[in-house]
Amino acid sequence: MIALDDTDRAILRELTHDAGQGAGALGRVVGLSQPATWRRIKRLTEAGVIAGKRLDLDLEALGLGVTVFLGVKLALRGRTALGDVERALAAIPEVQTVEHVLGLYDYRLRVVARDIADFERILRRRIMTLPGVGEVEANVLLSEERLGGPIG
Amino acid sequence: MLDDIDRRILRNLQGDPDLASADLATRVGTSSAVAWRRVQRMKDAGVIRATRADINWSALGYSVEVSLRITLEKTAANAFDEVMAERARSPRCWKSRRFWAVSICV
Repeated sequence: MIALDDTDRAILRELTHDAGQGAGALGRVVGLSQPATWRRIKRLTEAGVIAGKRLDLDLEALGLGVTVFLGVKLALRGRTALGDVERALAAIPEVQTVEHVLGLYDYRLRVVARDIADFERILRRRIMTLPGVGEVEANVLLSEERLGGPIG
Repeated sequence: MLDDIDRRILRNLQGDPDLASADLATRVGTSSAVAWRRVQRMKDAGVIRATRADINWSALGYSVEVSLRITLEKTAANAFDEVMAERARSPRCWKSRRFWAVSICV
């Protein structure tokens, strides 16, 4: 496991906010030269700490005003092929993430929709029609706050 | 408003946010100047908020990730504020969401 110092943590914190900035700009924020910053980013990337980069889009500006977290319980646990259910859920364009979880539900999905009526259409036509899907719980997102987590 | 080219640009950038304008242009079928201008326009309009790094927590020794669902006590008037204040003191918490919950049984 890689050991991090305060500067590494500051670099990671900066990159989770803006990974588009170069090593020079990032170095000025954390108080390092451009080459020293670049070497640290390289080390963190090679150690697998930086899993990848992701585009942060304003979903509302894209016309997707509703985000719903869905808990899905399988109806015939043990008799449904998990791979088939996962593939079918992942193939729904409005489903952003599919997580297999241990707990009250078997799967946790993040679903985006234009509005509640659009979400109802996705739920009725795409999710509830899948074989193996049992109880479903919907949590409509009101607000979301990103915190620093262990590196914050 | 976004058109089909904008949407194709976003789809390609979601797969690889570091894609160079020239490669992006080839994939969406336009010139690199046009691709670059459209990306800038979407950044200025706030459609593209940022490119963010995703942290692999298990590489830092955090191998378990748990989603906690908290139902607020409706009789306590300041329950929400108390939970929020407590959460700010918890260094392991990195996302909090407010929900409006519905159960659907089929």
